[in-house]
Amino acid sequence: MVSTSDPLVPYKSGDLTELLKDHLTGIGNRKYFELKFEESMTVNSSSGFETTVLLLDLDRFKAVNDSLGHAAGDALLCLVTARMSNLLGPGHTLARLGGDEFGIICGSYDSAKQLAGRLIEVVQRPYLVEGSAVNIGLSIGLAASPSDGNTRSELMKRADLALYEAKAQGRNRFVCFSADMEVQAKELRTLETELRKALLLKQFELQFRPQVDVQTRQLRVLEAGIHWRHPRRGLLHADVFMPTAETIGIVASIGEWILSQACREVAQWPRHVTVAVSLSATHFNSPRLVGVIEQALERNHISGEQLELEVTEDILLRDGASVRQVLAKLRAMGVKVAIDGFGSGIASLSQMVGFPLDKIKIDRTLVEESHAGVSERAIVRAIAALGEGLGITTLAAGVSTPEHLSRIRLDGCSSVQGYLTSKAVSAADLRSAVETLIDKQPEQEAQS
Amino acid sequence: MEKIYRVLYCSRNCMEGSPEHQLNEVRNILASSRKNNVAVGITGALLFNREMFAQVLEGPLEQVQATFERIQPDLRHTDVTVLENGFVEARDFPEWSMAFAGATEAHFAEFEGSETNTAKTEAAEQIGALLRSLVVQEDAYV
Repeated sequence: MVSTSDPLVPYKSGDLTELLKDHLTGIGNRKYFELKFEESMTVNSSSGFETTVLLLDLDRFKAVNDSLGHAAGDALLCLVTARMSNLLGPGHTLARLGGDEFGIICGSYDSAKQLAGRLIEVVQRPYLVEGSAVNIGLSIGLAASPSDGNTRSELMKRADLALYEAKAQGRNRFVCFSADMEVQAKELRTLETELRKALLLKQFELQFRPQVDVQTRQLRVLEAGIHWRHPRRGLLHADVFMPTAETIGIVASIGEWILSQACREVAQWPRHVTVAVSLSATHFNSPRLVGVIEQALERNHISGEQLELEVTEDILLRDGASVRQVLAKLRAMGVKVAIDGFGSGIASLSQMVGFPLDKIKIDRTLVEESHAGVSERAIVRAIAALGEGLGITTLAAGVSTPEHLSRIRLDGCSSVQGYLTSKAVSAADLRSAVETLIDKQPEQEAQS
Repeated sequence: MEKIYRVLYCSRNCMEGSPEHQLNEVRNILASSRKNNVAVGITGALLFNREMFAQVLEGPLEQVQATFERIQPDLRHTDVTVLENGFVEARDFPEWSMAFAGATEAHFAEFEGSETNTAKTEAAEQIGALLRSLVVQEDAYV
């Protein structure tokens, strides 16, 4: 019998006791990994050698588990373990840390990088599992002592950051830890905390970008965009914080705030001016969406016609039937629906015609003078003609000069948005801006 | 009768050195695979040229999977793609523990000699037919 009072005894004796073994694959478990890691660092640091840790994560393993079942997933883990074990050299320790995560301890950084490359090459080759051909990938993060840290927990944390980076860069690759990753991770954590606080303290504000009728030059729509009045960093654009809001799951809450604020503002504008709000996919899919809009309209005593929702084409294409249902409910309330960034993605004109739409916003990449050429202009003309035929407003985004405006008019677009027709303005400045933007009231309004 | 499982895969040849050296390597591969395959009831064919390997393995599922897995880590090839896998009515290469469908290029061909020309042509035709039948099936979907 082996005494278990000293945890190092079991593997010193050459075989893994039950406590240190991963029962599926037969290699060491997390506990074993930690013990070997500790031992390796002690031995190597006293003799001046490096210890490198590799954290490995299988890409698309969950898809295999989901489609072929857990038994196939388990069989695959065993095959992966065997493939990786074959590549290990003397002094390398492989362990399964849990699920589809593995860890390797080895010596020099250079040999570890070489090993990482080989592991990725071999693990990504196809497998036959229960008669099915399966492909997965491997992402690896590396960190080494003494350059990246001197304790096990430090190295684990840093290899984990490198692994995270490998996945962010597109998976199936290895990434070595660098100090800027830690800075970025820290910034991201700070941003997350501050963003939650911002939602609670309502540190957001809306700015509005005018959309103007090409023929009459009248203001038609003010498009709401969110900014964050950050206590230290000043006014932050949505691009800076909305991706983080998405990852921490508060994007729908922010979307609801935008909707309620936008409705509050539009209640104070001339009746013929509409407020436009763009919806993220997450917000669009929220079951609360229709209710929240109903409430916002009611509370501010405005009609649905004064609200326009902008959706992207990928929202429309994702799930036709349920998307149509939501759109139908919104339009029954009088709310207008615009498709945003049209022409930049994969949606075809015929697909879009199938949806009930009020406006097509042509993507700026097709409009902007800097990169829109002959073929882009032909596309713009085709979209404008389609819009006219269907009675749908077509808006060209990114119009910047008077010449550009007259060209867009020739191309047949009915509305424009861009710097030519004023920059975004804050809610506070809006009242006076609205006055100057309205050259003249529309005929009907003037008569009534 | 036992069910026959078949896999056809292609991979890119990573071997370096002279044609002679590469063919020697292939002979080694063939020799060891023939020895292994006889014991476990696997038959099949191997096609090789300067660029590519294409191999058919057929036999009991467990054995084909094990053999396929043994081939995978081999660093003499890369970019492995499974073109076809599944159960089949009958073996395509019942006579061969591993038919050599040949090295198709002339300067490789002169170093060959382990197979009679007829056998080589037959195996090449069969593996070719299998590849063709797959291409035809793919076309049928278009």
